[in-house]
Amino acid sequence: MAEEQQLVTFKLGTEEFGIEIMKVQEIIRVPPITRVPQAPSHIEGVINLRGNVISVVNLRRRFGLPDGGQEEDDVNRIVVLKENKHEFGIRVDAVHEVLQLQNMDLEPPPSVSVGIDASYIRGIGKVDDRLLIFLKLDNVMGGGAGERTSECEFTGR
Amino acid sequence: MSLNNGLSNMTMPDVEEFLEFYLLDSQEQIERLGASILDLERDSENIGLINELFRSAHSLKGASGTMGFTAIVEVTHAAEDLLDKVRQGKQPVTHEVIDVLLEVTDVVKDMLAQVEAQQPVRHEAPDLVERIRQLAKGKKVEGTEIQPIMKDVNDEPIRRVEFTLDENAIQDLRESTLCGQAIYQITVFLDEEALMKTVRAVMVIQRLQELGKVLAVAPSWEELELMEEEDQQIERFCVLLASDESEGEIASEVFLVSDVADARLDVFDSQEISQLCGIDICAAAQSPISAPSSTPANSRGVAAKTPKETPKKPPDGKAAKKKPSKKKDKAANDQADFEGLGARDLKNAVKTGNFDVRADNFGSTDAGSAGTGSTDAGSAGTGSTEAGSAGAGGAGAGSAGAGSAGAGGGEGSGSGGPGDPGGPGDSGGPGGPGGGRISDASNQVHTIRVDTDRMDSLINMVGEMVITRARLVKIGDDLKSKFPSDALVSNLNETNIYLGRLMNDLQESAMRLRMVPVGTVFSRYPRLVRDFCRKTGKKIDLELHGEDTEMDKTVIEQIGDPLTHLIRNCVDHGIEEPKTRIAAGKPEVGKIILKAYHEGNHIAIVISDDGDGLDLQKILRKAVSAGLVGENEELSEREIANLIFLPGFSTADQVTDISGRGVGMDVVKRALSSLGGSVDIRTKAGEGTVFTIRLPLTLAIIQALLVEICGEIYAVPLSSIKETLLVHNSEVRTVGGIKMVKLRGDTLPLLSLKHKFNLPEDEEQENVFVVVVGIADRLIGLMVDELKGQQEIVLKTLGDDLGSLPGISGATILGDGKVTLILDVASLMQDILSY
Repeated sequence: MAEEQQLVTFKLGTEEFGIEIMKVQEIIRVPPITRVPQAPSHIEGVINLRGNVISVVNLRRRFGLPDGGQEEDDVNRIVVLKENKHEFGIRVDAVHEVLQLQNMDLEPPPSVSVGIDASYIRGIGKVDDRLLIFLKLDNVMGGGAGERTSECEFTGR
Repeated sequence: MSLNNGLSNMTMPDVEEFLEFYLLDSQEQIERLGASILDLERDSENIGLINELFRSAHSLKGASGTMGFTAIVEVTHAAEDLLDKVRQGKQPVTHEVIDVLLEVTDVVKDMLAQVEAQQPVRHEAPDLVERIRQLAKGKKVEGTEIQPIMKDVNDEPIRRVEFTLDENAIQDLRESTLCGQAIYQITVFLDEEALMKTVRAVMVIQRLQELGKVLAVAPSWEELELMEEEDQQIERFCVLLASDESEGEIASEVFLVSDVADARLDVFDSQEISQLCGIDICAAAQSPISAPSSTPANSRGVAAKTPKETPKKPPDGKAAKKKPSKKKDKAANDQADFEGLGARDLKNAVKTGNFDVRADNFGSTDAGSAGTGSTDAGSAGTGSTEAGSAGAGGAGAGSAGAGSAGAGGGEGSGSGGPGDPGGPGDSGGPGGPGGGRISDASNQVHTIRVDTDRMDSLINMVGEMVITRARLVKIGDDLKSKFPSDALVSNLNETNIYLGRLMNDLQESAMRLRMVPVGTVFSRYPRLVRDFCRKTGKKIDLELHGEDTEMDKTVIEQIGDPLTHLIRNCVDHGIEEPKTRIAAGKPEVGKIILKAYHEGNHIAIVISDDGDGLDLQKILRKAVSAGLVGENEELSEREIANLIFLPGFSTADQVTDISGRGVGMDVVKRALSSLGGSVDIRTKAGEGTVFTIRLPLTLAIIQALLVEICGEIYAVPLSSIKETLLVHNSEVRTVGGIKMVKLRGDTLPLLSLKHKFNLPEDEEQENVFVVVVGIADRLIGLMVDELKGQQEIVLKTLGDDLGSLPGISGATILGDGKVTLILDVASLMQDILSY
């Protein structure tokens, strides 16, 4: 009984990553990005998405990958994701394909570090010969790395 | 109550649709109820207030019953009963009563919240109803001396009112009973201070006519009229009504008329009805109904009388035209006497058959309007202008002749009444307005409810349009510089300017939609203060000022908590115990004033108390011991006072239920600055503390100055900009690590945004632009590379991820589609001034 999952796969450096297709709202070309001073370093800036301001995460920086000479070319894309009504974009080197994956193909993250913080990884998928890193979205944007302390609630007392 | 059971068990397909209205309405009602209860505590003799409370509870109960929320009905019903006792003076307004009523509002509020969340409605306080009943009953049994609050009019046996029923009415009564309509006796009490009570009476009766059949009125129309002429005032009157509507429906309809102080409804049972008719209903039903013969006969009476009068009228009018003095005045006075009644009377006249009297009135009314209203007296006959409006009805009745048409004519003249002001308004003043008000009352629609989502999307679109227009202007400018002499380009630019003006108006109107009076927030505080006083024994009077000051809805929604906190602070720490106050020579009752007013582009909210003031020495000691301030720092009083806004600061030695945990003041400050506002304290030992909050008027669209720093554009809200300067490098001094410049004798600290934002700092330019920004009386200068001009910008949030960045309050999208960051002046200032 194989549950099928559709993934959007993209390239970042030499690795290939996958995200659940239902989380992906759209894929756009890279518009001018406005840098935000004093923002966390993994946030590259903000862009205008049809009148809404959304922030863009630079996945390379987020994952601690080398900036890779910033190969800005035509295949760079921003994948706009929606998680809990919260929109944000991730900048990737290139979007690859939409892939169907059986759940059983997914293996838990390896105990040996692959150079990326394991908290961002849900598992590793095997497609033919290729290895696909399946991302855990909740931690990509915020929270995960623990740099945001939980806000003090307004107790009023 | 008849409302409770019927609908609750039925599954109504449209319930969803009504639910929203019900919730909105009930929530509003319950807020009002809460506020009135607090007023009542202060002013327990106020009958109007008690009636208002009763009415609120009643309509809440009615609405809840219709929607089938029996739990709410139960509670409100009990409250209504209690209020009824209060109203009748059988129950004094004690603290217990107020407490229990407030509890009712709380419980109902909770239950409404459950309804809203689509949960099954649970009883929040099952014993509450019982307690209310005990209270309502118990007091009476104890036989406490209760001074009657109001004249005990209600205790008079109302049934005894004798209606004089004419044949028609009896006929109607029979028919209605057979149709299964309930027969009500409605006793209406008018406000003692009401003017033109007869007019009110007519209004009430008219409303009732819409609900059913008015069978009789006591005192009768003639008596009413007589009283009016002799300037007697009626305090109350009774109406016999046959109707399908429920009691609640009728009562609420009656209360819609202003100056109605009270109304009592009694349902007649069949026996009483029989007595009323003088005939057994059942027997009457068997006997042939005589209505067809009687009604037309009487109506023909009208038809016969009216034409008699009508021919007289044109000569009257002409006479008035020729010799305006006598006739006109008399006619006008006549009309004034009737105060708009004439037209109304006609309608009833047709119904009750008292035609002789009526026809006379009718004639004089006509003459009045014909004489004063128009130069063409003949127009009364043709019914063309306002002068003829009443006359037209008469003519209609006259010519048509048949009974039903006669009633129609009466109707016509009724609606003609309001038209009169144009005519007799100058001489017969009271007649006109009186008539006008009657018709106004029946179709008042001043507000509509709109889903906030819809409104926000409208405002968003306006925002997008503003951005797009900015883009158009840019294109126009580009074209202008490319083709300076092209007429088409000038045309485009002119149109752009016009469009800009329109956009400004549109934007302003759209923004105004979002404005809500600050009173909606203020209204919750009297309760807060009261509960606190009851708990601690302090005596505090809370005064509210400027509740109608309007602010953006978002701001209103978010200032509630910070304000609550500040007020809690005032009641807990500010105001002293009564003993201490007396010892200090102050009045026993402490005073807190909550005030809102406009201040330029800002709204100021001031919370002041006349309590002990802040203990500055203690604050300083605590701050030093907590390491927040260096031991040898010299601080002004104001700076010390403002230390309490630092995170984790609390001077309270004891944590109380009300406040004192040390989380709070910093949260207040944070909440306010996230709204673009600021807060300041002034305090004087022994005299009190004043918190001043300044908030922006609106959050959605603002004017901003665009500045360039290192090739990137930032927006500075214009509301905080005082001026811009071009400063030569040599004028900039460095004092204690901070750059300063002299501005008209004062030193102005400068902030380098490049430094602040870690941007590459290129070599010193010869001249720097300085944008002088300030909040209240404190100023700093922002050093920027270039000024790019002023523009309207639409505020957008940066989202949760970037929500609380220092120095940045949000973002906007410029004409070219690029995102631009908006500088947070308040936080930038804090940065430099806290050095």
